[in-house]
Parts: sequence; structure tokens; C-alpha cells
Amino acid sequence: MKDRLLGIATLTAFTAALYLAFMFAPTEATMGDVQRIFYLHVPAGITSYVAFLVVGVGSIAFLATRNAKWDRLAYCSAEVGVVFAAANIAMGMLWAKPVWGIWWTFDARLTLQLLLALIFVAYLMVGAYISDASRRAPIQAVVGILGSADVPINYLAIRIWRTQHPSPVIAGGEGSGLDADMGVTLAVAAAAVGLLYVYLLRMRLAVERTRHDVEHLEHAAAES
Amino acid sequence: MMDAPAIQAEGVAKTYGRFSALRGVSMTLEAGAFLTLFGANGAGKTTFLKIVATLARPTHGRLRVGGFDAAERPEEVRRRIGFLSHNTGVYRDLTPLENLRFYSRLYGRDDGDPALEALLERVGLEDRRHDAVRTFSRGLLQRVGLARVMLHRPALLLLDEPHTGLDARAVAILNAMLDEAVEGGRTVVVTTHDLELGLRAATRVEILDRGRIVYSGSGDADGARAAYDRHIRREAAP
Amino acid sequence: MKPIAALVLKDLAIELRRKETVVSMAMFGLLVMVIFAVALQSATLATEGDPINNAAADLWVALTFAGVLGLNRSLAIDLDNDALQGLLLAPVGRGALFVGKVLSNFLFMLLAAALVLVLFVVFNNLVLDGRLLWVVLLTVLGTFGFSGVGTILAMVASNTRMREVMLPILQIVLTLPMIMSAVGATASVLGDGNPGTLFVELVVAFDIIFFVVSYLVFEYVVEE
Repeated sequence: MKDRLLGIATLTAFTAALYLAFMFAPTEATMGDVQRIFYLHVPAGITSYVAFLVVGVGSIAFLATRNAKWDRLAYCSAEVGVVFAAANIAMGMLWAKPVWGIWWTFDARLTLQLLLALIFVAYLMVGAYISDASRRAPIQAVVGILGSADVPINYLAIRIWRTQHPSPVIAGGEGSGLDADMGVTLAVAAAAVGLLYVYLLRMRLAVERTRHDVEHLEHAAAES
Repeated sequence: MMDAPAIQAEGVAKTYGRFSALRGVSMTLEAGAFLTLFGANGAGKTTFLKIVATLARPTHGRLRVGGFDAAERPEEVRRRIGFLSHNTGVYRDLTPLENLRFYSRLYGRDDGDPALEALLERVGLEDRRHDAVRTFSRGLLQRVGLARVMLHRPALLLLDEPHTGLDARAVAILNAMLDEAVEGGRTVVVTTHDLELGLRAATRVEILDRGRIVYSGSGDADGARAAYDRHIRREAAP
Repeated sequence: MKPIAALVLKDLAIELRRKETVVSMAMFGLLVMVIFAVALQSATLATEGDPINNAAADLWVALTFAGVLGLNRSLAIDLDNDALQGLLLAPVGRGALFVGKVLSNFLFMLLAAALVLVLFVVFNNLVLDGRLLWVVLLTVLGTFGFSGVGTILAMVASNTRMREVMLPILQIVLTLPMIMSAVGATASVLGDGNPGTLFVELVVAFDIIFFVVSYLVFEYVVEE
């Protein structure tokens, strides 16, 4: 029931966000309509950060408590986070091509996002390639912790680079600042993407819980 | 710590993913005993020894070794045990003497070469103490492992299937060392599925079957034999 | 023809089931591209248009690959004949085992790095002056950070089915921010004699953070 409501809320928020992005928000002065991708591009990026933060927290909590639910939370969040990071990168490319004339450049922000996605792809690969079921969880948690520790360092390393990518428009320095209507649109879109993350994460966790229960039952059946 | 039981296990359980290797093993083993742990393959013998040796963490249950809690004071436990399995834990690129020197330092001991050479003599390796272990047969390798395990004079010896793959000479050396250890007041735990080797010196017999203790008795041969027939021969029968 | 087709089909069927070889090769290829691009970019951004840039990037890519090979071999010493079990049985903390292994990895890498550095000087016709002292110091710092996290990652990789390829994948993704900064510092110091405080600080921060975090989580990688 809760999931249903959440699904409906996500769908509603997305519909509203798309309406605002395409019909309500003003056309950006220099870039034109292509700038509208911004309303999904930025929330997807931010949400992927949140998802990776959850991986770190879940990994630490798992090692501290040995409760399998934290392990599931960590790797499910990593999966969803990688999808969001990939969406963020793909949308960025779609935006960069008309505006900068290129799909990709090893610019600071782009590289940062690529590295974050790769860290957590590697994290998922570790989990997939460990055959011993009892050792997978702690080892994957260790990689989750190391990966999360790398996030701020990556950020700092890249801060030292100069960047072609626009600096954050919200609360940025001179010349930045977002039109009020654009701000509303971004906020709604961010809420929609955030809800989508929670929804996907819950769905993914439900699948894992069911898998866990089925294995438990199979095991119990095999023994009796 | 001679007065504390060598092993005190309460409901020790271990699951590997979906597989339950141990389902609640409780036992108290008094110091100075010679316990033989029988069980078919997969009965949980190795898992139990690994947990006692602090190599594996139990999923449930508590364990004390020589009075020390294995979860809280693992290093104290490790100081008091010698664990030998099919893995001898020796470096094949080093000679037996170099291996013993290394382990002696790792255990914070300062055994001089004469003491280490004497130990190699006891396992019958005095002639090969300067050869790289890489060139050794299974039996010789196991003897280096035995020397490594005896090096720090552990109060509790845990030997997982120690007789497997040994030649007659190595079996004789092994048995002599075990008898000597028990005479010296140490506790010995041996796992095997060979009835005669297991009953040879046992003062205590336990039988594990699918993760549970199904028989627990003294070293009295008839009772143990009957239980062995019931629980292990049955498995082996077609 | 039939036996040949059978051989190929057998491999295809297995790979379709496991999806390991192609995925890990692709990931490795992607990372090699990324590390080259990022290293060159770091060097270029540190000093504009100086030919020494490529040399600095070259040095650190060489050290990275040499290091990964060394880490795999060094752990193999302990995995051969499962000697590791003997270490785990000794009455020393897991932390001490970790530090010991880091130091020997560090030593091995330094010896190899010394040789690489000599060739670096010759190939790039560098003058022996104070700048080279900085390069040596940066190499020592970078190598230490690399060995710290590399020791635990080698252990992680050894638990996976794809040991040979998982170690470089994990090692490259996680050390990239340090490599970027080390390249930046090397290029700067070779350019104008000033390594750039921020770059050096970041390398040191990486060394400390990853040594401490790896030390704390090492026990979870070796437990059963």
C-alpha cells in the first residue's frame, strides 16, 4: 500500500515536473530550449550523490551490526545510484553537444561524475564476483566504505582543476542566480527525482527480501 | 589458566550463506583431555575447529578457550592454540628453519636456532632443514606444519584430519608427539573419519552429524564404536 | 569445422552465463582510457602547454601499472600454500598484519620506482637539480598511498573470481584522485619549480585517510 502511494506520488511529481519544465519555465536566454534538460540533469546528479552516501552509511552499519538489511540497503542503493549517475552523464552529453559542440570533455565536473559512477560499478562488480556467499557481504562493505571515502577526495582533487562546466547556479558567485520560475521548476523536479530514487530503492529492496525469504524456505524444505 | 576448561562452547552456530555448517554446538572440554571429533564430510568438524581457532566468527553462540572469550580476546586465544589443517601455513619459498624462525618472531618468541633445530629433529626433518619447502612431499610438508604448530607450546592443539595423506613414518611421528603433548598436560582435539586412528588415544569422543553433536562419550571403545556405526557408517553405506 | 564451432559455442555459452570476461575487460579498457586522459589533463592544467606535461603523466601511469602488478604478486606469496592462515593464527592483531604487508609492498614499489625514475630522468633529459628532489618526494608519497589502499584491495580482489582484473580496476578507480594530484604536482614542479601546495596536500591527505580507513577495515577482509 505504502509502495503504491509512493508510486502515485512519484508519477504525479514527475508529471508536474515535466509540465513545469516544458510549459512553465521560461526559455533560457543563450542556450534556448535545450537548457530544459537541466531540470532533470541536475537532480539526477544530486540524487546519485545521496545514493552513494547511503552505500557508505549502509556499509558501516552492516559491519557494526552484522544485520543483513544494511548490506542489502547498501548494494541496492549502489545499483540505483549508478543508474542515476549514468542518466546524469547521458543527459549532460545531450546538453553538451548543442551547447559546447562536443559530447564529452575531461572537464572537472564531468570527470568527477564519471569517477563516482565507476567507483560504484567496481563496488557492484566485487559483489558479483565473490562466490562465497558468507564472505561477500563484509568484503563488499569494505569496498563500499573505501569508495565512499574516495568521494570527498575526488571532489577536492577536481576542485583543483579549472572547469569548463558552469559552477552551481544556486547560491553561486557573481553572474549566477536562477530565475524564480526556473527555481520552482527545479525544486519540483528535484522532488520528483528524489521520490523516484526512494521508490526504486524500495522496489529493489523488496525483491532482495523476497529472494532472501525464498532461499530460507528452500533451505528449510531441503532439510526437513 | 590450567583450571579453566580448554573449550567452553555454548550454542555455537555458523551459516555460510544458505548453508548451515554448525547448528548449535555446546560442549565443555576439560584441560588435559584428548578429544576425537568424528564426522562425515560436511558434518561441521572443520568449521568447529576454525571457530575455536578464531579463524571464523560464529553466527550465533559464545565460545571461551582456556577461559578467554574468543570474540573479545582473540589474541589471547590464539596465543594458546596450535591449529593444523590441510593448510600447513608454511611458506614454500623458505626452508623449514627459516619458516620456524619467522613464526617464532611472529609469536614474539626468541627461540635460537638450536631450539628450532631440535624441534625439526623431533619431526624428523633435521637433514632437510635447509631445503626449500617447495621441494617437499605432502608428508614432509605436514611435518613442517606440525613443527610450526608445536613451536609456541600451545595449551590446546587443534588438528584437522592430521593423518590424511601421511606416510607411515609421519603418522608414527604425529602420534608420538600427540601422546607427548597429552602427557605434558596439554589438550588435544583431533578430527578424523578413521575410527581406529581416532580411538587410539582418545579420552573423549564426540560425533558431529550435519552440524549437531549426536554422540558424546568417554574414550570407551565399545560405546564410541557403536555410535560411529550408527551415525557415520550409515552415511557411507550405499 | 564442427569441432571449431563447438569450441566457440561452448565459450559463448559459458560467457553468456557468467558475463565476467567481457564485462571486466570492457571496464578495464575504459579505466585505462580514463587514467591516461585524466593524467594528461591534470598535467596540462597544472602548467599550460609545456612538453614536460606528458612526461609527468607518463611517469604516474607507469608507476600505477607497475604497482598493480607488484601488489598482485606480493599477496601471492601469502596465498601460496595458504600461508596466510598461519599468519591469521598468530597472536598479533589484524592491524599489525596489515601494516606489515603495507610496508613490504611500499618497499617493493619504491625499489621498482627508483629504477623507473632513473629512466624518467634519462628519457626526458632532465637536469639533476632541486626539482628532482621534489619528484622523488612525490614518488615516495604517492607510492605510500598506493601501497596502503592497494594492500587491502589486493586482498579484496583475491576473494573474487576475477582476481587479476579486479585489482587493477579497484586500484585505478580508487587512487585516481591521488594520481591526478601527483601528476599535477610533478608537472608543476618540472615546469616552474613549484609543486603547488594544494596538490601535495591532497596526496598527503589521501595517504593518511586511506591508510587509516584500510587499517580499520582490514579485519573484515580476512575473516570467515
